[in-house]
Amino acid sequence: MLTGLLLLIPLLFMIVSLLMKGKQSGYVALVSSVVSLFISLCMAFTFQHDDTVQFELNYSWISSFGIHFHLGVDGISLILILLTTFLTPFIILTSLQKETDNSNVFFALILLMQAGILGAFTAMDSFLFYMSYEVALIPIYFICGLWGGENRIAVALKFFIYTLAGSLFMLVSIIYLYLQTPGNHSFEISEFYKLNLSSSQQSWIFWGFFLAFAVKIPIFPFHSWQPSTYTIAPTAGTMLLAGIMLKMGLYGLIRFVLPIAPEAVAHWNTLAILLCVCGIIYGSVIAIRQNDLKKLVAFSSIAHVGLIAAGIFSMNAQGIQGAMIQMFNHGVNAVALFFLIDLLERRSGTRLMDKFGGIASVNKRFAVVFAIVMLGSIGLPMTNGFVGEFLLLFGVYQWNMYAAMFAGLTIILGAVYMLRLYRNVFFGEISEASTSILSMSMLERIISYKLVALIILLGIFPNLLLNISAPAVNKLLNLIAHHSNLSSIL
Amino acid sequence: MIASVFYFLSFVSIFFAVMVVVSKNPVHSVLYLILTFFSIAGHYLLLNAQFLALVHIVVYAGAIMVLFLFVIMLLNLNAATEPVKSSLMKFAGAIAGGSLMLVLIAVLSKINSIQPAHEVNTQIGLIKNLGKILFTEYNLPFEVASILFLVAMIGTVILAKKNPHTS
Amino acid sequence: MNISDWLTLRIEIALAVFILLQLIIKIFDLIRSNETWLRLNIAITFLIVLLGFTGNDSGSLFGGMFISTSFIIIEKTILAFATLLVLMQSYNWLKHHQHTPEFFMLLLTALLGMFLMLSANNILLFYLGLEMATIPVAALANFDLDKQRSSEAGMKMILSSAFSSGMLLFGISIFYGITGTLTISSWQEILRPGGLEVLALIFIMTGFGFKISLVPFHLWTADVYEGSPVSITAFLSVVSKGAVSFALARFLFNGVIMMQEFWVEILFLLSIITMTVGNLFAMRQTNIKRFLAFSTVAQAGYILLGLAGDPVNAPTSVVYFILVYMFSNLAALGVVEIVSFATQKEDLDDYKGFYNSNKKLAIVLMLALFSLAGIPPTAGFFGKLFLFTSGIHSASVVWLLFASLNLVVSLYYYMRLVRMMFSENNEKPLASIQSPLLSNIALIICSAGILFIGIFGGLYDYLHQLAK
Repeated sequence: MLTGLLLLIPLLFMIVSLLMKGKQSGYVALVSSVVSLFISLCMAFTFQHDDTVQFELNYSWISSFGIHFHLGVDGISLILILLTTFLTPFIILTSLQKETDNSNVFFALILLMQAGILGAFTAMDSFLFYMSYEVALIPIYFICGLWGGENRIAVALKFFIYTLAGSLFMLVSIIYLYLQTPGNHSFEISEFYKLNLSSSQQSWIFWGFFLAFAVKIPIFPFHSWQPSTYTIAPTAGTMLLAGIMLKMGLYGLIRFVLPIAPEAVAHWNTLAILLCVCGIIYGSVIAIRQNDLKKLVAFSSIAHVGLIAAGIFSMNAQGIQGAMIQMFNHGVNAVALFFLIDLLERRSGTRLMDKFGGIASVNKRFAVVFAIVMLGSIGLPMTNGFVGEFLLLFGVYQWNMYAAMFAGLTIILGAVYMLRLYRNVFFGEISEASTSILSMSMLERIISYKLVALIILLGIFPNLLLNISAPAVNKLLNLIAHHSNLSSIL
Repeated sequence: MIASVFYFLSFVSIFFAVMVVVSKNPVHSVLYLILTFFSIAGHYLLLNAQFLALVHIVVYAGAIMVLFLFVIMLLNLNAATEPVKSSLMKFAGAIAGGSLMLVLIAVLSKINSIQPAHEVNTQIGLIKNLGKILFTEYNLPFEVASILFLVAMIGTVILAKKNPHTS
Repeated sequence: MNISDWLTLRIEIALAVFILLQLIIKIFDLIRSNETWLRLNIAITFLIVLLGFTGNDSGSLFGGMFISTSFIIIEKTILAFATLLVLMQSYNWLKHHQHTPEFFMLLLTALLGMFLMLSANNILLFYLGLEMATIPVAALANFDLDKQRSSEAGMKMILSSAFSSGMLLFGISIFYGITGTLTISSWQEILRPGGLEVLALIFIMTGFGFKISLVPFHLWTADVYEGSPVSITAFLSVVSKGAVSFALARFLFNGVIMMQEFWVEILFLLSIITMTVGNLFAMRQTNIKRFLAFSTVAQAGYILLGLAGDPVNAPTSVVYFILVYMFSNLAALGVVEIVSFATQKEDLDDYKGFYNSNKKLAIVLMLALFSLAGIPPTAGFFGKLFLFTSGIHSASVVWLLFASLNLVVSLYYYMRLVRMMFSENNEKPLASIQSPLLSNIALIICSAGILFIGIFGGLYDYLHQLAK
């Protein structure tokens, strides 16, 4: 029931928001996102901390094809639902700060995207997952293509075709799995788990899914759409992309690839983790050389999600749990960083690092907020990033020590580029651009304090999240271990 | 006896058909074509299809070929005005036609003997029998054909009666 | 024949009566105003659509020559509905045409021909229906009477269709020679794979290939689509193509099912080149009608993929796809018709910045292109999905691979047009266009179809049920 509401609310409000004009539509969207947040909190509080699928909703959709409208929530999806519903109000608030043309369409698209993403996270039917995965893509294409910056149309098209072509491989894999299911065939994910696939079949499935998700996440050689898209997208779009949308790819790895093709993962994860580690180093090194703040955060994002993906591919409890919590944290941190950069850009009209300087002496409050967010992103103890990165590195370490050493560079390099950013922007001589950051508005203060509070809260009490996902992750690992051939490897 | 008539007619029709293609003068082509039609009508007679043979002569050899001749004479086509086709086109056409003939010969040579699938009423081609069956068993296609002709007529009239002001 | 037999024939009889009535009205000049004619015919077509939902469906008449099942009735209803949409969209154009009544007679006769073709269980009736569905359309292609291109289109259409009918007839006569019967459904007991049978099958497939413009029999398509009035392009590309696809499905599964392994091979070859050539040519077109023409050529390749399925799923997926394709293509051509009627512009470049001047039309066109490209969650995605899953039954991996690659290619050029519409820089942007009410209604119906047909999956289940 609650899951159904969770999907229905944004869709209903989307229509209302389309009918409104100007800022009103933004307020409608805000109300919708707060209602969604409330529903998801209700779910979180009534959630039984075990490994079952709860809040189920199951209707037949296209019965002659075995397609069901089957929604459900387990620990893994609940964390991502919470992430989505937590961040959407912030994203909408950020967009409310400035005038947008056709704002009713803009906010309706954001709500549609929220519905799509929530659909992907709650889908228990692979077809429904695929649909939602794509439904979430179309709004972001238009958000980037219509409200983006320079050269937006070409960049958005590249992003769109890249992702859509990638997910075609997933569709093929899903249909293949569907045809393997016994009897009248079914698209249920739980049916896919029961399949006994040979190792060559698993390899094909693995690569099919991997290509789709690697584009979305993005994992190293498939990332070329990401920096340009992040840069041209309006801030809300960047937040949606980096904060929430790429988690769909990571979620897909956990939901599909690990349990359906565990042998193939065990066989190929050397290569996969290698790519992830390449991405970590590549993203960090490029981030160090960036002058554009938004681009810097975009490249750092490649590094962070690379680590999360590596944790997932290491196939142990620490790695996956670390991925779960870090997905949440990365979302919060990315949104917070993009929010602060957007604030800088809105005030001063630029986001080039060398235009700023000495903000710390202009506006201390802002400097402190930025510092905390930045430290959270680097992964300092007491902030949320620490727990996640620690668990992830621990997981990768268990798989291979050297890989963990290289992956660990993410913290060091992260500190390098982030501190460089901080030094250039906040210390030194006060530049002309910096003087525009004299004060923060009430709304900006509220948003940033809330995000900072979240960063610190999750740094101190990571168990809030870890407890939710632990049983589901254990169940997943059991499922993997049940594949008999695998016990020798693990 | 019938066999020798058949071979004779076949020879005549193929010969004239080749002549239609070969002859340079369009008027000659059309005349050869009329002869071809006559020989085919002879085939129909051999098959006891009187009605078909008659219609064939009246419609094809009579009406359509006369129209052809009119057009050719009115446009004053002759050998000199025939557009010259490039040798490449001729070559491609020869290859395509040759391949089709090869396939047909290959298929037909595989068939040892052709037996009728079931007993055929040899009298069906007579005008009386054909008329009967057309108005009983094949009533629906007959009516459908009449609508088809009616509409074809409407279409032709429309196209022929273009607006005098604009064209 | 008793009453219930007549009821089985109700759609055809109603249509034939209406056609003849209109002829009489025209002869005695009872209705002068074009608008009255238009309203009358829209009402008639609507009535035909409604008739599809009433009464008993199954039956066999004229000694098994004419058969009817619920599935066939659904096919007919889809075609009638598409015709209704075409009529609504052509309101503006026909309002000032001097031969409006004849237009309807020709159009409705073509529809009647399609109905007969679909219900025919006798190859003679089938052939007559096919001709009746083609010849009037050739005259219609010429209906922009003062345009040279339109005459050219009509001429090309009639010649190519005559040629293809010749091919078809040659194949049919060989089959008749082998089986000694004209009844299609009894062929399957007699026909077995053999040299002569395969030869005849190839001839028949060639004939069908012309009608649904498969490569290499597509050469007439782009010229005819470009030269004809847009309404006729819409009718040709949706209704004619749909009807022949249905007929092809029925012919393959009722007549020559025993030769399946052969015709799957033929479908395989035709499908691959059709998709590839259609897509490659669509990519380099500059005229939007030609662009859509080649894109429909490519779409036909996917239909062939769906036909490679089993006897239940293949017809179901084809019918479903045609329904979806009808909405998508009619939406796209509807927008093109409005634009071309208002501004006489038909180049792709004219659509640059279309979103800025005509937001609603641009969004409809975008939806249509999304659906044609098969992007979820539009109906086009579901249509392609069902075709693919049906085709997996006997299609080879190479075939599926080609089809998937072609999907990506087509994605590119459909999105290129979307990109053009949303870009800003155009020195001579299209003016803001006031579209007529009936066209708007048709476009709204199409958009609703594109958006909701896929999501309400019960429709496929229903068709599946009927096909069993």
